[in-house]
Parts: sequence; C-alpha cells; structure tokens
Amino acid sequence: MSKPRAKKEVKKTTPFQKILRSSENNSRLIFTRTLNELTAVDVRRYSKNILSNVNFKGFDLTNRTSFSLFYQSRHIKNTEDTLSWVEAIILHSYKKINEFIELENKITKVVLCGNYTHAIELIDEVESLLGKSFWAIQLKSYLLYKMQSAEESKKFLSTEVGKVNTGLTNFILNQIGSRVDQDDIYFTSTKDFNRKLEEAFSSDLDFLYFLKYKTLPSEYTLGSISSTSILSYEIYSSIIDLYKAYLFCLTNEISHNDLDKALWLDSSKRIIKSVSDPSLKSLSFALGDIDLTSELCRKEQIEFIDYYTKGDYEQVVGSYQKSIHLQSSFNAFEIFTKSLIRTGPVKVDGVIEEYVIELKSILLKDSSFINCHSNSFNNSFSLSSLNWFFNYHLFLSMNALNIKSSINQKLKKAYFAKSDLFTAFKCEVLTKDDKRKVLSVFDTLCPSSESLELFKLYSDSSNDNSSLLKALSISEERKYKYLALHYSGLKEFNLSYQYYKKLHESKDEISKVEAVSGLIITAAEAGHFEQAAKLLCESYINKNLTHHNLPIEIMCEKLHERTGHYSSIYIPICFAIYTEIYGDLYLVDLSVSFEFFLIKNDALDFTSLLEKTNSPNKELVTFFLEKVYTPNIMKDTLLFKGRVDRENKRIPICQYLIENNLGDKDKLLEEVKSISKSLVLTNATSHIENTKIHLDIEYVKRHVENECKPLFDKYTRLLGNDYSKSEDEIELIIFRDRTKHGFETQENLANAHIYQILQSIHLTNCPPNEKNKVFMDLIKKIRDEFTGGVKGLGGNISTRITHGIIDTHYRKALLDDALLKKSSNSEFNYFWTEKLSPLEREVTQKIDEVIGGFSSSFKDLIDKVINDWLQITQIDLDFSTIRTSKEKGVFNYSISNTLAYELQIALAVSTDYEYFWKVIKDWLLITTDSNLLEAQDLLENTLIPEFKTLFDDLQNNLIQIKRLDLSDITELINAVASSRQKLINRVKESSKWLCRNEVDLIESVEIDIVIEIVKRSLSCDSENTIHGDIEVLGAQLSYFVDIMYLLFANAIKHSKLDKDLLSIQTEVKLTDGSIEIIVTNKCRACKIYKSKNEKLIKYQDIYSTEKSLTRLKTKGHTGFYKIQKVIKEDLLKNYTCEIKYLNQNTFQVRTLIKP
Amino acid sequence: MNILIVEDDPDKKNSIVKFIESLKLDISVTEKESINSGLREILFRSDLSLIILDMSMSIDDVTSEDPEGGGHESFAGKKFLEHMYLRGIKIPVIVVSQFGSFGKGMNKISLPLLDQELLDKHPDFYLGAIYYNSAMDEWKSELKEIIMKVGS
Repeated sequence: MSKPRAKKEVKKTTPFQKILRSSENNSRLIFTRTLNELTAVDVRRYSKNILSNVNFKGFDLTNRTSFSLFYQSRHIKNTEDTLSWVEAIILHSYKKINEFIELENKITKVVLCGNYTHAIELIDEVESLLGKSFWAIQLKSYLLYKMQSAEESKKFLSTEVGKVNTGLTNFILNQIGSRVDQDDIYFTSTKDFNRKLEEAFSSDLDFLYFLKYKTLPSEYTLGSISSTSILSYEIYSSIIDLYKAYLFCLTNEISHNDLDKALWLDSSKRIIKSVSDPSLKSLSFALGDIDLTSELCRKEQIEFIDYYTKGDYEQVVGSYQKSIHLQSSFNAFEIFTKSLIRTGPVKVDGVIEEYVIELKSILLKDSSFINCHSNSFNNSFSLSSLNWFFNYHLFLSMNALNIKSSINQKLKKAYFAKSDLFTAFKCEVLTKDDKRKVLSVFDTLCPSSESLELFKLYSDSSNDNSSLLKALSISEERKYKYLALHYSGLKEFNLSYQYYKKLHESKDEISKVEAVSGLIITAAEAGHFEQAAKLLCESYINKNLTHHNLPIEIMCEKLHERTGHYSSIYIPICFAIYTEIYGDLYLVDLSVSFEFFLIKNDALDFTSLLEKTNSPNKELVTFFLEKVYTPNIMKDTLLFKGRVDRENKRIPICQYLIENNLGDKDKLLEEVKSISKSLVLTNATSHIENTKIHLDIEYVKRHVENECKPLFDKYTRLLGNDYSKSEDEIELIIFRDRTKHGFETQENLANAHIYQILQSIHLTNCPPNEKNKVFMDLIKKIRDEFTGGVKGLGGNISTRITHGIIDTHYRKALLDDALLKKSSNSEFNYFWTEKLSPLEREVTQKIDEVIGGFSSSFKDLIDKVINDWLQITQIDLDFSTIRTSKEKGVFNYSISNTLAYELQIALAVSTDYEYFWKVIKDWLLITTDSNLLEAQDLLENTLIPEFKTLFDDLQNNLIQIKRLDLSDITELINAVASSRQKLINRVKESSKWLCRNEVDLIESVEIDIVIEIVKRSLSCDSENTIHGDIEVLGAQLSYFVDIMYLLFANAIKHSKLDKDLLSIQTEVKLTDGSIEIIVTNKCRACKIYKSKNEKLIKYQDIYSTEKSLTRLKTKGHTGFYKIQKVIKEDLLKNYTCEIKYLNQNTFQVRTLIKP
Repeated sequence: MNILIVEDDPDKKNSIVKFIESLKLDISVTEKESINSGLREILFRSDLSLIILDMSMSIDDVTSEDPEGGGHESFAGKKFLEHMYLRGIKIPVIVVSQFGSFGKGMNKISLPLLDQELLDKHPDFYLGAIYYNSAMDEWKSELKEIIMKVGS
C-alpha cells in the first residue's frame, strides 16, 4: 500500500519572477518591466530578490567608480513608486550607510576644529568604502580651497571633469567649482542663476527641480520643488547622494504646506529601523513619528534650554563647553552664541571662534552684518552636506536680508524640524494633535521644566494666561517677549504693542532687535496703519535698521486694502521700500499712493513739497525724492504728460539733491546724465528715424556749375533766335494752349502739380530745335547729378533705405518670433519644432511648410518694395517710340519735351543763372516731394494691406492643418499676431523715413548716442569704450549713424553667430584729428583664419580706394563701399580700414576717418 | 450705452468697433490706445457702462516725441484693473486679447489662468476675458453676450 503522498508545497510565483520568465533574458526588458509593472508594495516585498538580480546591478550604488555612471537613465514615476525604490535601495545598503553616518560625524567634528587635512583623509576613507559621490567631491573641493587655495581646489575638480563624464555631471562639477570661484559674490549671483535656470528649463520641470536641488541654496528649493523629481534622478547616482537627497526630500516635504506626509512618514519609519541617523530621526519626528520623543529628548538638552529661559547665561555657556552632544548641534551653538553676547567674551577653541564672531554680528544685525552673513553663508552652503552646516545654512537663509516671508516660513519649518533641541519653536512645527502628545510626554519626562511651562502658557491662545506668565521665574526680557506673543495670540494688539515697546526699551541687545518687527506688526494689527508705516519707514531710513527683517511684506499687504485712503508720505515710502527689496508686486500701489500724496498735499512741484511736508525729516524727504519721485514711478500716475515731461521734471530733483549733498551723489549724477542722454537720444533718433532723405541741393549746384553755366549761356544766346516756325516749337505751343485750361478746371488734375502731369506727356515725331535741345541737355545734366550724383537722391535711397536697411527693419519684426526661414529649402524651423514638440512630426512638418510659404511670400513682397518701388525712374521719353519701359520706380524724374518747354516758360521772366537755378531747384524739389508722397502712400496703403493679407493667410493656413488642435499652437498664433502688429508699426516707421530734410535740428551729440541709436535699430548690444569727448555735429549725425550701422550690420551678418553670442566691443578714439572706430566681435570658429587674413588685406585696399558709386549700384557685398562712400563723399574725409581675424573666434574692423 | 475701448492695435480696434456698430444698438464708443489715456478717460466719465480692454499695450499714447509710448507692457490690462481697484472705480471690464498666453519663462501665464486670477482679484467689476482671433467669429458671440448682459 502506498503511503499517502505528502501534499507538495506549491511555491507561489512572485510578480518579479513572472517578469523574469516572460522577458527572454532581455536585460533591458526585465529592467524596464520591473520598474513599470511592479507595485510599490511588491518593490518593498521583493526588494532583496530584485536588487540581488544581475539585471539590477546598476542599482548597487555603493561602488561607483566614475561620474559617467551617474544619471544614465531616469524613470519618472509617482511619489509612492519612487519612494518604494529609494527605500529598497537604501535598505539594501543600510550597513554601509551606517558606517558612512559615523564617518560623517567624525568629519563634522574635525572640520569644526579646523583640522581640514584629517577631514580630507576621512572623506577619502568614505570614498574607498562607498565609491564616488558628489557629496565627497563637493566637500573635498571646498576643504582644499579652505586649506590651500582656489587653484588647488579647481585643479582637483578638473581632474574629475577631465575624466569621461557626461554633460550633466560635468555641469554639476563645474557648478561646484564656481562656488570657489565666486566665493564672496556667490550669494548674490544665485538669484541670477536661478532665473537663468528657470528661463532655460521651464518646459521640463522635473529636470529644473533636479538642477535647482543640485546647484542652489535652500531658499530656492525648500518647499517649492518636487521631491519626486529629485529622487527620480538621484536613484541613478551614488548611495550617499541618494541618501542625502532622501533626507533633503523629507525636509522639503515638511516645508510644504500641503504635504502628503503619510507616505514619507511610513518610509522614514521603515528606514529608521535599520539606519541609525539622529538627523533622520528628527525629520521622522517632525513628520509625526512621536514614538521617538523619549529617544530624541535628553535631560541634558532640557536643562540647557531651561538655563537660557531663566536668563542664566553663564550656565548655558558652561554646559555647552562641557557637552560633546551639545557641541554637535548647530541649534545648541546658536543658543550658546546668544548667551555669549550677554556674558561677554569667553575663550573658544579652533575655527569655532570665527563662527562665534560671525554669528554674533548676524544676531545683533550690527555694521558687520553683511560681510559676516555673506562669509558664513558661502561657507555653510559649501559645507551643507554635513548636517551641522546644513542647519547653519538654514539659519542664515532665514536671517538673510530681504528674504520673502512666504519663503522664510518654509525655511523656519525646516530649521526647527531638523533641530535636535526641543524648544518651544520646534514644537510649533508639529500639528496641534502631535503637539499635545509631545507635551504630555515631556510632562512625564521633565515635569519641572520652566521652558515647558512657558511654552504651554504662551501657546494656549484660548485663555488669558498673562498673570501666570508674569509669575514665572524667568528673565524679564523673556517674560516681555512671551507676554507680547501671548497677547498677540489673543488678538489684544494694543497690549501686545506695550510689551514689545518694553522689550525694545530694554538694555538687552538681542531683545531690542527682536522687538522691532513686533512693534510694527502690532501697531498695524491694532489699526494704526499710518503709525505702523511711520515706524517702518523710520526704522529703515532713519535708524538704518536695514539688516533687520522688517515686516515690509505684511505692512504692504495691509496698506494695499486702503491705498487710496491715505495722504501720508510714509505710505508711498513703504511701497518703495518693498519695491527696492522684493520687486514690483506693489508698483501700482506705489504710484497711486504717490499720486494721492502729491494731490492731497498740493505738492506736485517738488520745491513746494519741501516747504509743505511739515513732519518728515531730511533723510525721509531725501529717500522720497531719490527713490519715489522718479520717472519709473511717475509713469504710472496720471499727473504727467508723457516720458519727456517726466524726465524733464526729474532733472531738477536730481540737481537739487546733488547740490545739497543729499542721497547717492554718484548715482544721481549718472541718472542726470542718462536722462539728458535719453532726451538727446529721443531728439536724435526722431531726427534719424523720421527722415532719411537729406538732399544737399547747394552741393548739386556747385558740382554742376562748371558744366552747366556755359550751357545755360548758350541757351540764353539761342533765345535771341526765332524758332517760332520750327515744328516742335509750334506743336509745343499748340499743346500748351489746349491743355492749360484743362489743367486748371479738371479737379483730378488741379490737385497735382503741372510738372508731374507733363512728365509723362511727350510729343513724339517732333525733332527738337537747337534751343530746346540745349535746354533739354542742360536740365538732364542737373537732374542726373541730383538723382545719381555723389550727394544725390539715389545714394540716399540706397545707403539709407534700400540696401540692407529697410529689409532688415521689416525682418526684425518677424525674427524674434522665428517666423522666417532662410530659404524655402533650408532646414526645418527648429525653433517651432522644439516649441511644439509634443505634436506629431507630420503636423509639425506641415506647420513648417506653412511658415516656409509665408517666408517666401514675405521675401517676394520685400523684393518688390526694394527693386520695383523704391527705385529711381528716368525714362528718356524721346526714345519712347522705340522702347517700352517696364520701370516702376516711384522716384520718377523722367523728362518729356512738354515738361522742358513748361520750365522754359517759367524762366521767361529772366535770363539770370540764379533765377534759372531757382526754377530748376523748385521743379526738382516739387517732383521729389511728390515722389516721396507716392512712396509713402505705397507703403501705407498698398504694402500694409498686402502684409496683412499675408498674415491672415498664414493664420488661416495654420488653423486649417489637419489633426491640429488650436490650443496646441497658441504660442505660434500669439507670435503671428504679435509679429503682424510689429511689422505694421515698422512699415509705418519706414514710411516716415521718406521725408525730405534740409535742416539739421541738432547742434551736436556725443558719439555714444550714435552707437545707442544703432544698437536700438539693430536690437543688438555692444560694450563701448570711448576715449575722451568725441562729439558729432548734428549735420553729420546721420552719416555717422550710417557708418556705425554698417559696421554693426557687418558684424551680425558675417559672424554667423546668434546676436546674443556676438559680444560686440566698440572702441572710439580721437587721435590728431582722426577718428578711429574699432569694432570687435566674436564669430563662428574659422580655423583657416590666417589665410583668410591675407585675402582680407587685398580687400581692405580695394574698399579704401575703388570707386564706391559704381559698386553701390549693384546689390550685395557693398557694406564697406558704402562706408567708403559716406566717409569720402558725404563727410569729405579720407578713409582707410583694416579688416582681420584676431584669432579664429574674433573678428575686428578698424575704420579710420582722417581729415 | 457708452463703451470705452482701450486698445492699441488699430485693426483689432476697428474690427471690434465695426462689430459693435453691426449690433445696431444705441451704443456710443470712445477709443483710447494706452493705459494712461484710458485711465484718464474713466476718471472723468460717470456714464460708461463697459470697458473693453486689451491686455498688452503701451503706458502712454505713441507720439512723435515718444514713439515707444513710455514703454510696452505685457500685462497692461492687469495694471489697468489694479489702478481701477485702488482708485475705487467699478465700471464693468471685459478683456479682449489676441494672445493665448503672456510673459516668458516661469512667469508665463495662459489667458484662462490669467482670467481666473483677475476674476479672483477683482470680482466686483471684472467680467472675464475673450480670446480674439481675426480669422474666427467666436469672439463676436461672446462679446455680444457681454454687451447685452451689461446693457440690460
């Protein structure tokens, strides 16, 4: 009989095993599927199996040998899944993490003793134990800098950068290096860096948050970035970096107001069972793990706090110096230093002495505050991977000048959450429920603690505990402080104010500092807004308490509700202080309160303001005049007529302040200079912008006189002959008699000048008699000089309008929005492809096609303007029978025999050459004015509608693309609308160029005004160095603008770089009457620059000598000929140039204008 | 009914005015083209029933003396509403914008979000935002609805 078979135990297949079996040994597939398919619970449950599997060896973060292994992949998952993986990896290596924590504590101790050599040895030990980490490299590089020099530190970092790293790791390493580079300015430069990161990566928030975490101080990160984003990257770094990131994320979650703390608390509770880290315990406690209370709270610490509460500062100092535990806490160090301020100096060893000196200054907000804060900030941030220094860094961030209150609240939460001392403020981080539980544990542990009693009384906002508070045996200052806080909690603000006042009047320096904000807030809360504003302004301006964190934001928030109700000068000043420190949130409030103050006090004229304001002191009025009564604030009021009016009113205010030695003299002088320049610039720009046609008719007269005078004499002689029988004379007389009446009576003809009409009526088959022939030759000669001569109209149109000017002007409207393609065949429009990247490729290609079509039509239209419209037409009508002209240029200077005859009639009254010249001049100018009007009309009434149609078509074509939702291309549609308006404005501007100008309105301007005009017109930047005072005569302004324009346009065009990368440097100097202009710019790398320089030598000779006028009649590569033309023909100076590469990335043009 | 249009784009302004005229209601339209000229108008007008406001425009009117009109503001409409609030003016306002978003980088905000922000901030007089597109007609029915509502 067979034995009953034992029931075979069926081993359940785990989800991970299922993945392994169904993935055909494909490592990549196993890895991806495990990450994607396993639930958070499964990851935690099977983490041992998963992480010991060969396919997950990449998750063994304890032995990184190179930074190139960091951040190789990234898996963005939800918080729960990400946390489960982080937890699994940390717990998989918990033993090594514990070893690390011990070593880290040792490192902190030796760093605080200033023994950096030993600290570096310990860091090396960490590295040999746990492989490479950013934690180690950052710490080591900073300690090398402290111990040796910035160079040594950089050298060390460069060896790491030099190894085969990825772009991202190198970027992080370089950022670590830059902390050493910019030691003293690091704090200020972070704001800028934060902005740049946000601008560059706003479309990828996960990456942005990770970069911020890696590179920026806590004020830019804590409570405002996503922990999941950070961990999704750090999971592919090293075990130390991941663990540190995890601690940061716990802190980050505590700082959030809307934290979903259950997940984080659960994970920290599980990790704490294996990882022994006091820092982790503090965070877990702050998240609500109150089982840790008895473990974290030690008698020694409570006694330490009690000594401080009682005001027994000697005991505080003594306890601190005796206890190793207290010395390992920054929070204890803060209390120790506060006590030292009261006890007087005590001998302290090592670098701690430096820290004490700096922290004292920061606590007292004394005159060394800025230096001390900046030094300690850089130091603590660079060492913030050590817990002691991270807490110090948080403390300094909270005490930084101008920190926003919303950010400060987050930092405070983090600071007290991480604090290892159980102070009243630490308990404030806890929820009400947790707070109650903690207090009950405390009651059991230390029932007689004064600090505990104090906290219980003050935090009870439902009962009036003031008499109990008064009865406590603690220092007077502590009593005042807590009574003020208690009354504030009870909303008894007048009483609270009284205690803040007492605190402020006490002899204790720290109490005085702490009382200022309370005084202002309680005055405001009690409804005394103007008094609160006065207190704030006086504290900031008169008492110079600029190092205090005054409650400026709270004040402005309260004033905003009633901005229009006040007449006090303190209100706009409060808003101005806010604007100076935080930005423009209350800019409209500032302007409106400023306007109301001026109106209600009848003080529009600032001199009457000085007489009428009876209260404020000199400093306050100075602040008001210097920082409130400014064009930027004036522009948002309704009291001034426009920019020029505002600037004109500002100048005497600056002058008054300068003359009376008030305010920042240098800044004010600079302001006056800048406003004056701006006023000149407005004038000069409108002079340049409003007209580009400068006709020097007297030059034409002088230039042709030698040839024309003899001809004219011949003509006058011929007038003595009788031509009444000649055929053409008869025809012309008959024609004139017949048409004269018609010209005068027909309305459509009467509006036009007779010269314009006659221009196109040529009597054919009438060979001219000698008199008419000579006269025709004479006026043609003058006309040719007028249109095509050196200072003729053609040069004006070509140099200032058609050759590269008007097209650049129009293109600029579209380039910012990337609506132009270089050619229809050019590469895909990457700008929009990237912007619209989530769209299907087929759709983006279609968009690109539409933009391409638009670009091409746009180009055709511009070509029509340049090549057809804005051209000179002078058809010899005597050939009209044998040639049909297709010329469409609006500058029509054709001469017919009827026109010539009409001019002869006009001359009949005199045979004087001057009179002749007057008639001819009138004819040419009348014709020019009429042509200019026609050109303007074409631009405004033909070109603008054509452009509008082009844009309408573009928009319609985009909308009609199949499978495209309009919301997907909102930005592109925005760009179309914005470019459309910009282009229309630009066409209108260009229409204004088409005006004749004979008078120069400006006497002279400084050369930098010329550069400024060109910078504005080309939207580019330039760093200028002007040697001495170089002025340009008003009459020559437009010529210098032309030269500078051509030089800059040349740099932009030929550098083949983006304008932002050009780095144009302009140097202008005056030597022996010669003006030298040197324009240097960056260019795309040219490896063969030496051979190119040889070719350029030939060109520069040609450019300086070859006749420019001939070259100018062709299009393209004419920039230097134009410069030559302007210098030689218009300015009548000599010209040489030097064009060369300085190196493969730098190009330079030196232009010499010689007398 | 008196309507003020504060708008610097002549085409858009003309198109809105034409549309209002096409409604054949008894409406008189005043046109201004900058923040300050618009504000000056509302300070002295007690007879306005509605303001049609652009979101991006210049501070002052463009003149030959100041071709920039004191500078262009992306959030001019927002500023205009802030002025109204601080000056205690509560004439109904509707924003009509041809842009779907404003600002750059992290400060970029879409029209619907900006609309919500302004509704939260000025519920007393801000009526909402209409997206204007010259190639489409939706804005017309939305604007008509507002005009009828204000006029009733």
